[in-house]
Amino acid sequence: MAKFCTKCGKPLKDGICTSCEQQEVHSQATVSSNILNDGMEVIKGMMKKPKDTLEKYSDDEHWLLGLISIGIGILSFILCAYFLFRNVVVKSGVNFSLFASSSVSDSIGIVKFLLVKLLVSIILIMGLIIGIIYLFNNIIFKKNTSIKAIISMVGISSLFFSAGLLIAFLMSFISPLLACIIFILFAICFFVHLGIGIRTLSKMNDNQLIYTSASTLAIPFIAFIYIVYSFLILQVIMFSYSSVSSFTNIMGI
Amino acid sequence: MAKFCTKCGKPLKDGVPCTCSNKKKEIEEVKDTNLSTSLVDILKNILLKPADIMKQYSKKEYFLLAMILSLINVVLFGFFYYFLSCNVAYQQNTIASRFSYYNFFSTFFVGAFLMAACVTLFMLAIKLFVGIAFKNKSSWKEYFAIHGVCSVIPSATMIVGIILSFLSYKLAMIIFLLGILLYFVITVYAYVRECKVNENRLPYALPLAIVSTFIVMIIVCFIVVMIFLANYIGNSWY
Repeated sequence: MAKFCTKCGKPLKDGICTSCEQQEVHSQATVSSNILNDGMEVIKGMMKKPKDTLEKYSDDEHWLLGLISIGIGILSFILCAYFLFRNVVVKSGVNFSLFASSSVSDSIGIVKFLLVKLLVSIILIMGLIIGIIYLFNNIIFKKNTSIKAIISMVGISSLFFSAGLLIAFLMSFISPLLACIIFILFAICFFVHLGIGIRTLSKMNDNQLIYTSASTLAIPFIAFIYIVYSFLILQVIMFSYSSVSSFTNIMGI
Repeated sequence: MAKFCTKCGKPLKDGVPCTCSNKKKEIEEVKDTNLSTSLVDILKNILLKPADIMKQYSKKEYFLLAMILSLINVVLFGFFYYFLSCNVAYQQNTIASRFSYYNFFSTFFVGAFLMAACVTLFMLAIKLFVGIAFKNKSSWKEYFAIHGVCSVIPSATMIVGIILSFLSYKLAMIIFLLGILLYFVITVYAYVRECKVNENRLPYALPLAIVSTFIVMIIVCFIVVMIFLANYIGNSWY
């Protein structure tokens, strides 16, 4: 058994170097506090000066912050979509637990089915956005933009949208219609932020920028429309058609 | 008899009219050719060099051209709306014959009216949120010139949509949505580059303009549907 630390050469106590362990804990705490501080600054910056914030943070160093932001965005989206759906059903005067107990097949409940489909779809859409930006930057127009910078840009662009999703989630308890409007408002914000982010990140000419922005927004948008249509709207309409007579009642107008 | 031209003040020779009226005709002819060549240039290059086309034609001098392109867009939407309505009903087996149920003129008029209302409201919202609220100095004509040039893309997708609606109305709707999305991508680019809109303010201004237009359009659609229903009920009552 080794008696001295292979990193700093100090004697080990019970096979553990107390000095290195303390340093590791300290450095982990510094990284996490940095990410937290950066995160707070990015949230403030995205509200006041989104373009400047995107310029400052869309680089290789902040890829972890970007990844965490994407994760927060995905969770906020699922939370918002699930509770919006739930509150639309509840507002229509239907017992949600009765609906939730119904199943797609013998083993899969309808709520679990929707949540899993939603999670897979939103992860795919985020992946699609990052993939298309990478494809246009590095493969089609050969501009050498790192994947880490792309991840940080997409993550930071999505932070403001995540905040909007949380507002929509809270609003869905009061009025699902208002929640839908807030959702659309912040979704457009996300697209505009992405467009600006692509402009700040890339070294492409103006025509190339338009092609990249158009593809980055159009392909995931169509995928999103397809998902909403096939997984959510269709099921809401099918379900509400059998139990509720008035559309205004569903939307809580 | 007048010795000097009443338009340009040049001395006149006996019995010979002043050449300034000929010059005016020549200028008008040049303008006409410019308009037609501009139109061809936009149609040719909007997909190949969108940024260059925007830079060239998003100026207030091209307001008339923008009006023509916008009018084409409105008329095309009228056709798109009619063919989509017919094909949706036909493909869902609610009507036996494709063109028997919907009256062409009334459906076309409703579609064209909705598009014209949508464009007008969007221009008002852009002026309000981008121009007044966030203090951009561009004029109405510049905003409209940008709209006119950008509207070529949804117009093209609507033509494709009309053809595709005979195969699948869902595909036609996706193509139409794609055209609208591309319109917004190029519009954002043009506002930033040509109108010098502050990029820190655009993420607020554009969503507010789009959503306010969307909400007012829903109210307009609701009123249009109510008027149609009232007419229908009134006719069936008598």
